[in-house]
Amino acid sequence: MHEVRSNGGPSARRELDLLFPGLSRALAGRGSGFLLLGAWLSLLALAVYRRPRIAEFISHPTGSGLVALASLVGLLALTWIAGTRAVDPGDPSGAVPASRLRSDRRAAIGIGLLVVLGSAALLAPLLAPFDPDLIDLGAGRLLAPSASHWMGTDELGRDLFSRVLYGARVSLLIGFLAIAIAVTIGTAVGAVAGYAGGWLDALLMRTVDLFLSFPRLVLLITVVALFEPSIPLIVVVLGLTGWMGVSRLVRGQVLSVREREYVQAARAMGYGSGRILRRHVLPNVATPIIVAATLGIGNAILAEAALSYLGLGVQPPTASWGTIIQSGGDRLVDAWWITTFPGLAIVLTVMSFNLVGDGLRDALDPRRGG
Amino acid sequence: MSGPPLLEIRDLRVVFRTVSGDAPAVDGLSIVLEAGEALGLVGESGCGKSVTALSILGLTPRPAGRVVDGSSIRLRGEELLRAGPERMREVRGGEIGIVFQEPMTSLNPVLRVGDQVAEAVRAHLPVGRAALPGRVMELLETVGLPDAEQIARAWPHQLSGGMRQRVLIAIALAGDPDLLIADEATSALDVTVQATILELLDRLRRDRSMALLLITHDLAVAARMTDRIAVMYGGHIVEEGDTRSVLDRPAHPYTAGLLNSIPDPARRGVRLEAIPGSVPGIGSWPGGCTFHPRCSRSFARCEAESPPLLVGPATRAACWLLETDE
Repeated sequence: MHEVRSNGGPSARRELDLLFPGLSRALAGRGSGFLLLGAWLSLLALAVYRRPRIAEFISHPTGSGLVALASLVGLLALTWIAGTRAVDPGDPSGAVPASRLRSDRRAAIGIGLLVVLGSAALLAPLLAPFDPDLIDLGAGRLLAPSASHWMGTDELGRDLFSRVLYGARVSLLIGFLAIAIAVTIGTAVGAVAGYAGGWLDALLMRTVDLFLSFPRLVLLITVVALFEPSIPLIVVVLGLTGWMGVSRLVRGQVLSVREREYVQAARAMGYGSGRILRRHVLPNVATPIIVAATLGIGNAILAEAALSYLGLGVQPPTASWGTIIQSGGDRLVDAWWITTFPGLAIVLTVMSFNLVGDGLRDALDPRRGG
Repeated sequence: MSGPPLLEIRDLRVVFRTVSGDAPAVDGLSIVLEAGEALGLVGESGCGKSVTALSILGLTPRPAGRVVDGSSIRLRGEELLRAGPERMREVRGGEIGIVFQEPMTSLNPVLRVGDQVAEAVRAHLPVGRAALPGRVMELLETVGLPDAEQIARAWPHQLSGGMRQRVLIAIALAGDPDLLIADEATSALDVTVQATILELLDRLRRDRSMALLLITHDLAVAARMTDRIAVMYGGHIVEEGDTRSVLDRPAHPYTAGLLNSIPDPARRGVRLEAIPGSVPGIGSWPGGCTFHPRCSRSFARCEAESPPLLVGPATRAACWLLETDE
């Protein structure tokens, strides 16, 4: 609607942005410019430094190599697009929660950490200095952290930094997928129970109570013990045992939203129940769902680590943070690094998700003035 | 005019379940509305006006509220109380549009205005995707919104109360209804905005030869908008007649009381008369004529027997005075 002209910046600067996205913003003293420029240059440097590996991934394509390549291209494209876009004055109406989130320092730290962690996980095959499964039973065993092995090596001489990087892929993937399942089931059950009411509500909520009355970890152990442990199984089991909280939350919200005037008005317009639920009720309970999902990912990652630590989760040699910690359990004193670094990774990740979740809750809360 | 009237309500009774048994909210209400006619349903809050409106649409508040057997609501002769849920969804918004009191909260806050109007159109008319935006613009222009394109892209919170009420009217009109129910549609608005919205409703009714059921507590609003007025008290009609007659020669003491409680510049300095007491809550309506405890002219018969609608000098009123006077 409005033609936005950047005030005064010479056009040469804008053209330099095409090569160095974010440069004109950085020169204007904006933090986002420095971040974008830094990300762009680091990604380019990584691509140049890992030329041989990229060539290898292209000539001998493997799943994880292709994911890394696609992520590299995708991240470069995202940085470039964000860095060359004209500074957007923003839709004053829509931007309120976004700007509130950005001005929340805790949330900003959380988002930053998650972006770094997520990128590192996606780019693991390009970043990792060694093959995570490369065994060296000679002089390479149980080395303390050093310049060549940043996090040391484990009992089998595998490089821990590489294993933690690869483990991030597994742990984050399990966390995301499990919470996706949990939120989908929880939202469906909670929405139907809250909107329909009556016997259906009672039936669904008693089912929730039933599920909640099992101790989660015991249930997890039992189910996993009945089947062959595998990543899909863990995802499904974590998802199936994590939806009850979401469904209670959603039901409560739906109970309140269904009485709002705009839902009554939708009913008076003759819209069907499904449409009212999808278009008028659920979008208005999205906020607590997003917050619950964000906080839930941290929990799912912890649960995965606990399962793997008990030997019922991800199976060796696949690295997940839980399995790495488990493998270092009996070397806690003489090789502290095996348990410490993946443990730190878990703590950082869960903390980041919690920071972002808290930030989102505050930013999306309409009762807070903006 | 031949054939059944557009809307005919006969002996509508709606009860609410309470701890002390079923309490009537609408108690034997009967009104007839012809096509293209404007009828004012007037009464104080708590007299059953809104429950009546919701019951016409089959939306009696559940599970507490229930329409009693023997009631009848006919739309062009079709009994709505026996219509199935699919049919009622066609009626809602398609044949009967409704505008509620609260413009600030009756729009979904997370959908753009244009999308909400488009949804209403698509729910009731076979308009293709290509023709939809044009139809939405047309509706927004019909309700007098300037710069319809900009309004369509706006979020509800960016509009003023008057603009939102116009959008809600556009949504109610989307299905081209034959009857528009305005349930206190202007009561929450500033007086000046109220006047423009009333003008709009009046113009729309005439342009579209649509019937209007104007539900209001404000006799002055009903006076300027309607052909006929039905005054409601205690869950049923206590006086009914054409608008001029009800205003000039009211037969029921309640109607007279309502008229006397309207401030009149010509009677400056004279103390404003109010009807003593207040509307009894649902479940505590008195026997006999429900108005008798507040009526200055009540006598023995009023306590004992509930009066039917009797033909008075200019109107029909449910008051025993009409028999006594003759």
